[in-house]
Amino acid sequence: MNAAEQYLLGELSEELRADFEEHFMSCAECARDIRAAAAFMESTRAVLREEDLATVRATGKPKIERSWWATLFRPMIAAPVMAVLIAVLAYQSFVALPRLKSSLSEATAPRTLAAFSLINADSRGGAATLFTVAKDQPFALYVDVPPQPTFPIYTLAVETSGGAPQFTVAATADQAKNTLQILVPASRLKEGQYALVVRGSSGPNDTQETEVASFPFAIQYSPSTAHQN
Amino acid sequence: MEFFDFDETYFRRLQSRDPLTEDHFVSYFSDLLHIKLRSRLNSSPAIEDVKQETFVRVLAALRTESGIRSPERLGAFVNSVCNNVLMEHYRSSARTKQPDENAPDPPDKTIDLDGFLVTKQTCDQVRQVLDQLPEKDRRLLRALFLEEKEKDQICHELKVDRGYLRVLVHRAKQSFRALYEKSERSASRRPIPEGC
Repeated sequence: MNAAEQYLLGELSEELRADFEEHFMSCAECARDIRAAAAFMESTRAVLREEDLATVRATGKPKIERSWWATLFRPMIAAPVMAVLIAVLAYQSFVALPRLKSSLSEATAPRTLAAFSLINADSRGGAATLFTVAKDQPFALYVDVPPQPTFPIYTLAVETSGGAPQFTVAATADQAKNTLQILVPASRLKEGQYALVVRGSSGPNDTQETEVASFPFAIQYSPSTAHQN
Repeated sequence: MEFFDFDETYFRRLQSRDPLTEDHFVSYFSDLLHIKLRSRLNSSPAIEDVKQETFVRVLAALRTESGIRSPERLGAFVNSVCNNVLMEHYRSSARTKQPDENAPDPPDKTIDLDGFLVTKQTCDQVRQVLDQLPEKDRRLLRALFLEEKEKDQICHELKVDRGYLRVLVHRAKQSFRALYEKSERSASRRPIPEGC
């Protein structure tokens, strides 16, 4: 870029600018150059501005080059994103967090726990024992694992009458020597027919499990809680 | 506009108030003074005032016994008188407490000439030059002249260095100048009031 372009683009220091002004007033060649450069820059602005106007007339959109990050701040993108963020924040503030606080409070507060025993239930799949539970409240199941045959590891699975597993807990042989207590979380089991199936295996990598016992039971909600949401 | 180095004959014609020579003199320096003053004054009336006062003083000085005597110093003399008028204008503006209206622009500001040299012909010539440029170079010129972004930012965004930008502007201007001066020689300028 020569002096004329640097001068017009404001790239000269104040001292050089004054020197160049004195020079182009006296030098015919530089006078021609500064005038041509000024005409070029001004006309380029005018032409590009005219192109922009033509683009706006044709498409309704200005032809402005934007970097990718600047594009993110365009109203048509930024406004919906902001709306979604505000909605998410509002949901978290007014729904999700209060619900979590309530759940945490309930989980950590001392309370009574309903417990039901399968100790004397028929372990061979006979008649189901009926348990009446409060809806959306946890409860406990007591069960004794039959002493024979003996396995190092047991799994205790609660399954529907159709055999669909609901949840499974594991117990070692030592734990199985005593009565096992299984905590059933709130809302984990709905009203219906279930069985607690005890299976034994020779180790964690043993994929072949042997059924040791099956305790059928049924769940129904207590009338006072059955219609709660 | 005919550009040439001023000689003794031209100088004598100015002193003798030859109308054609005076017209040429005013026309020659009018654009140059406008380019100079536009970076220092924000209002068009102020620019015109300073220009007119400069011409009055220079022409008056040419006709006095103690005035300028060297034709080759004519341009420097015009510039010097303009600087004096400009300083008086600043002082006058400061006294009337209107510094903002006529305060000089920051030194690093790109000079905006308000399109005073723009004609339909120059726009056509610029289009010819732009049509021959690759799309990337057109984007560079758009960012520089229309969007008026910082040059470092332009270079960063379009992945070129400052040297490339300088060469691009210089070559584009040189291409334009060839067309511009050819038409200047064959036809007079026809300014249009609105754009191209």
